Amino acid sequence: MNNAFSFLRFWFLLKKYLSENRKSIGLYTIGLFLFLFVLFGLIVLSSLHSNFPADLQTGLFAIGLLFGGSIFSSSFYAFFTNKPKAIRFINLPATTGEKFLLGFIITQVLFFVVFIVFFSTIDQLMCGLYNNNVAPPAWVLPYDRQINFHATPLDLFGERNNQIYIMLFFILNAFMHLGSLSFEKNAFILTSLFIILAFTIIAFYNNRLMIGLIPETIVPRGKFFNDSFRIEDGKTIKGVVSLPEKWEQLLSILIPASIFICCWSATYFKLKEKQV
Amino acid sequence: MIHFQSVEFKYPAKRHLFSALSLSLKPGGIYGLLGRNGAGKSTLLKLCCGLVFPTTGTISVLGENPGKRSPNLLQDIFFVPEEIDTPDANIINFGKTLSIFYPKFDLIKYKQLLSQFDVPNSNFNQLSFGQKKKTWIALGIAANTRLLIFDEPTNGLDIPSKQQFRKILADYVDDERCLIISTHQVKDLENLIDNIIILNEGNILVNASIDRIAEELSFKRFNDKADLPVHIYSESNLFGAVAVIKNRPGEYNGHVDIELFFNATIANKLLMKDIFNSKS
Repeated sequence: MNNAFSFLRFWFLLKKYLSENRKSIGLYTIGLFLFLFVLFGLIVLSSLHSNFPADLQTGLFAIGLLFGGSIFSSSFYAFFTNKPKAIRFINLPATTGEKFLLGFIITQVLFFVVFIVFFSTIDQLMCGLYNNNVAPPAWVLPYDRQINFHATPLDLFGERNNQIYIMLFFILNAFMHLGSLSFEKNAFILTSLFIILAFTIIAFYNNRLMIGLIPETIVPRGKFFNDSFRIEDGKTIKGVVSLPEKWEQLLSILIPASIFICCWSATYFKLKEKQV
Repeated sequence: MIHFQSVEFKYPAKRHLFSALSLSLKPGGIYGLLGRNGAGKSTLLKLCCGLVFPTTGTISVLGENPGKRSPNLLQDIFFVPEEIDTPDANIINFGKTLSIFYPKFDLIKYKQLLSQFDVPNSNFNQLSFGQKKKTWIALGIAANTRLLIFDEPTNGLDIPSKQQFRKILADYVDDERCLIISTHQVKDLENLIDNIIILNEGNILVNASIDRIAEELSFKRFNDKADLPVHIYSESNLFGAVAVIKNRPGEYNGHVDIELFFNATIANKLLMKDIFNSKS
């Protein structure tokens, strides 16, 4: 039983990790808060005489979540460059599953919760600051004033685009976490390069494969995967082939879920076989 | 306690470090692991702890495969590497945290050892290298594991601490436990280790008890080099010479000069291998 996964031992492991890394986690948390606060503050201050920059608000959410999360995740296993720390981590009497879950909770859950709390708080604060201090030009009509000169906090989980950013965060983070274990040095840069290269190759060969399968000239279309393609004959459009709606829905869940599960499974086995 | 059976090991893009290495270590002893730089001492210790995996062959430590890294086994192994970690924690609190993972951890003993070693109760970061090393030694001993492994434990220790270290270790070992110390500072461990393993280029040249070595060899000092009898190995020094001489049957000289024995073994590999592997 001692060799089986234990939630109690995992809890002690989490406490130990947080206690020993409180300074670096604290610094990162302060850095993240300041980054969001200062940048959002500057955006709002520079917009007090114009429309509320809703695009920048969404952009800050996306960049903060994706970029901040990736940097945090890709540095999780940086301690493997320090041999004594790596030895202590591997030799600590806990199962690989418990050590794996530690990384998952810290990088996927803890970071996400902290980021959402920070962003929501700052978003509320900055929207209030804008609404109370906005000074639109005199020629702006009262109706327009209410519509375009009014800030509304982002609906983080309700808006489709934000849902996509959150989904991308989980996938990108899973990649970065695996990269952190695979590349001991410069994990962030190397993993980013690997992801860019991998997706470019996949996109290129996916297109080539479709062209190979279909004899006519085709133009594939899709955001994250090909959901339709146009068949052309020189300048004439011969038709559009679309995926059945249910397939599209299924793929939009299946593909990200598969990538996520593959990355985390690979991380588990890599951790199990990590040598120091 | 530890069995290596035809173990092969190599680091990526390097030649084989171990080829068909077989070794057995029994409980109830302090093993001194000696070898030149790059002989594979640290790797051998890492193989025992499951930090690296053999390419082929089997390793059994306390009846389990260390490569599986099961908590059951890890709770009974404590490895203090040559370079030590400096966690951002108070040393007593760190001991308390570790005691959750090592069920036999003796917190009272840990505090006693820290006091014997004169280590102040503070954060790891505020300690000197020697004090950090002593704290890790204390953690290793207090963990009460059946297998305790030290890699160069006396590096960085001052002279009184080395003496204290020898005293503490002498009390540590019992019939159930095994202690492996890898070191270049053999003088620090004289009269402490009771088995010697000499590793050279990935091969075990000697794995013998101090008694066995004393049965086979004598370590003698001569004022004049001209007085040297037929010997296996000799070294000149300020007072004349020291030599390793093969004992006649029944002859026994209790003292073993470990450093001299090591030098003699490295200089006469085949002969020493023949002496100690022929009737073990």
